[in-house]
Amino acid sequence: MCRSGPPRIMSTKTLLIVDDEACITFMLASRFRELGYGVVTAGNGEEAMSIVRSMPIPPTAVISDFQMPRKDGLQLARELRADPRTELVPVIMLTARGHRLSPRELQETGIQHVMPKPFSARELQAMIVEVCGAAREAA
Amino acid sequence: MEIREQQHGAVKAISPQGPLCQADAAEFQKVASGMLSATMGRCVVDLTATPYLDSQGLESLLSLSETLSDSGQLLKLCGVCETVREILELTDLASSFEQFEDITTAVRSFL
Amino acid sequence: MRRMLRQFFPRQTSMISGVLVMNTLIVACAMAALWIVVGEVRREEATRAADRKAIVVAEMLRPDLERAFAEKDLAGARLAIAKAAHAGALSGCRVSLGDGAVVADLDASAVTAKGIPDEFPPLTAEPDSHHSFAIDIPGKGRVLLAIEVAAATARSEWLEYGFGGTCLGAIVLLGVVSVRAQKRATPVTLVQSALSSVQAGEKELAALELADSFGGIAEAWNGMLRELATHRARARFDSVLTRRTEPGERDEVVGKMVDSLWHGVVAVDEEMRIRYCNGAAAVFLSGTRDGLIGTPLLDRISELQAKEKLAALAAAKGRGKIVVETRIGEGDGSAVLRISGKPVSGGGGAMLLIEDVTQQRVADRSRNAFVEQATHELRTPLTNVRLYVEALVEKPDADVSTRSQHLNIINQEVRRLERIVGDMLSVSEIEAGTLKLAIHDIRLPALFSDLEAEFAAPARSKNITLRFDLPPKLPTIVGDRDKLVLALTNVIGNAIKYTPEGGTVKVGVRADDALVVDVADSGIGIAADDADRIFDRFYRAKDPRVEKIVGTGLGLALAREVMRLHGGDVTVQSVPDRGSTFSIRMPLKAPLSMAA
Repeated sequence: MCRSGPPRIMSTKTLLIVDDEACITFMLASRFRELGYGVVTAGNGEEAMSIVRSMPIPPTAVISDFQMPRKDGLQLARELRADPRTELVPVIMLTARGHRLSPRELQETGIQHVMPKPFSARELQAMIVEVCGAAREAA
Repeated sequence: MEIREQQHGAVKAISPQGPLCQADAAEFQKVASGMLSATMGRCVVDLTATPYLDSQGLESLLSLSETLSDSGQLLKLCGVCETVREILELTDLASSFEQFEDITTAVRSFL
Repeated sequence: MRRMLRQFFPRQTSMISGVLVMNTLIVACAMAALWIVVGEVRREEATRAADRKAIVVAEMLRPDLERAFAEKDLAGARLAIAKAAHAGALSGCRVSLGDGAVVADLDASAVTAKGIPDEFPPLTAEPDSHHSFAIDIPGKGRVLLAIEVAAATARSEWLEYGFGGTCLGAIVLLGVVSVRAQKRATPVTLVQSALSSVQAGEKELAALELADSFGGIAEAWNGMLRELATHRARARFDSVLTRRTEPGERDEVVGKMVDSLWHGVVAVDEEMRIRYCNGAAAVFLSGTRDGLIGTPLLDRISELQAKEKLAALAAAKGRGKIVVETRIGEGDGSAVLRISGKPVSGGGGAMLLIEDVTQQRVADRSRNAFVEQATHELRTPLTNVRLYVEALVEKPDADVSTRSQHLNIINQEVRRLERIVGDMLSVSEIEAGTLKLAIHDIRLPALFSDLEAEFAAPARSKNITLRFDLPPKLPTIVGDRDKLVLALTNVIGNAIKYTPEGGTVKVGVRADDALVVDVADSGIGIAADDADRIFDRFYRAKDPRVEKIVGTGLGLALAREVMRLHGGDVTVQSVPDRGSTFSIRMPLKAPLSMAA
């Protein structure tokens, strides 16, 4: 007996992880890859933007550190929001200064969620699932 | 005589580079007086580079302190060397100033 | 006479004691003289009485003795003597012959003659003081009659002795009394002289006090002085409080008091016009004491928000205190003032206190910036530790190389945490002025190889060539190893941080009269105006490239502070865009005064 119906489209969810701390990027990348997400990394906002522009499909979500050299997380979020291609991409901000972001800033930059440091990978994982679903689920 | 200025937060440090005597003392007084009124008295006179002074020098420091006393303050000195300290004791003028060990404690007194 | 007195009683100059002494002496002399005279007179009288008695007795005895001797009646003679002695209360009676033989005596054992001879030998001894009488015996010769009269003076002797004793006692008593009078006289004299100095104008009560060693009078005097002092002080205080002076005079006194305050004091009326301000307020409000009177206070405040808040005082809405902080002045001469105001109850208007809090704000700002930066710096390594520990815990069966890599990262991050916390502690110690050096021997080769190891990875990650040029022989120096490592770490860390990819950092070490470490980088360099200021706490150069790099602004300040404590320094030479060379200088022996 075979199942009937049209084949479901399986698209890999891609995460863009941006942090100037190599250790963090490395760890987060390997974790999310294990869970089945596609992962692209960048060391700062500028690098992140150029990667986004070069991607055929924009990432499903962006996880970014707040304070980075050469374009910080806030600026990155702003630019993503300004570009129509990426304006709906959810941004999760990792920050050591969570309280500094005012509600107005969050709204105008489209930052969905703020994850204060230090955090655990499980917490972040749960948040990603909440924001864009599990890796193998339908988009 | 060179008079160095340095900013420590909101406090200005005036440091005459050499003994305060004769014409140098008069010049110093003019410069310091201007600085005191500009900063509303938030100044410290750093005497680390002043090995000694004469009566003119004393007079200049005293007149600066007297101007300040109208607003309830005394001239603050720091880095006073042994010789100058003795002169102040002998002339019984030590109590006309507030003296501090170094510039850091002097600046802290403005808190 | 007085001079003689003074010789004997040098502390006595008062008349009282002199007179007392003189009196005593006179009385004593008089009594002694009287005693002697009276005694003499009495003795004279007694002697005369005795003589008279002797004569009477002799006359009485004469006829009896003449008859007895004529009849050769020895017994009769003795009887006669006994009778006479009894009647006359004689103490002795004797009849003796010229040759000394005793014919009759009161004391029978004294008789030596056997009988009365026919011929009497002629008298050789003359009648002597014991009342001797020669008695003629007709037909026979002469005999000697000796009579002794009992000392009737016995009674008067007693009297004499009694009298003399009383006199002596009186003298002694007087002597004691006079000495005590002297003792009392001394403090009394001193009190007298104190009183005369008061009359002469002495006002200082402390100068009139007597030493307590002078006993009761001195204590009483001093007590009186103290009471007087208390009363005087109270009177002064009262007079200040309830001074009935002209209103202007009283204001002047208060005015002087308020002028000596270093905070500004301002009184305003219901329309916020200045009624009064002290010297400090005049400075803060950029005016003169008199010039400011009558002018509106709010004209002196530029910030709108502050103006609005203060205006509420005039409206006297409520009785609460209003506090605003406002900036006045421009640029370098600007200041931050804290103005606290309170409406005057029932009087209309308000009182304001003005404080210069400019330096406080600066200190607050740098402290906040430091804490923010530091906590941020701490959170990143903490995140790493958390993530990697989590990974290890979740995958207990991961392979060895993965595990060891995770553990290395954890180790590295923990050391990073250690360093940041250490820096923070050093900064707070330096701020408080309590930083002390722990002085020990430092082995330099080990120290530098540790540094090489620590910075190998960060340098590699940026492709920077890190080279250590050490001389073949390095001396053992004396100082605080941890602090030296702190300084070197900050400087080398900076060099790597501010050098772009592919650059070089060279650490050159030489040790002659002092240890000098030159850290030369090919980094972004430092502008001339910044060169001096980069060692200031929290100062970060205005270069936009610097602003992008994470830093507390403390590293160089700490390094220099710590080196200066050792008696050394940190200096810099730089060419913008080419690179900088930081030189750390440390004497071979740290000054002992800085030791913990």
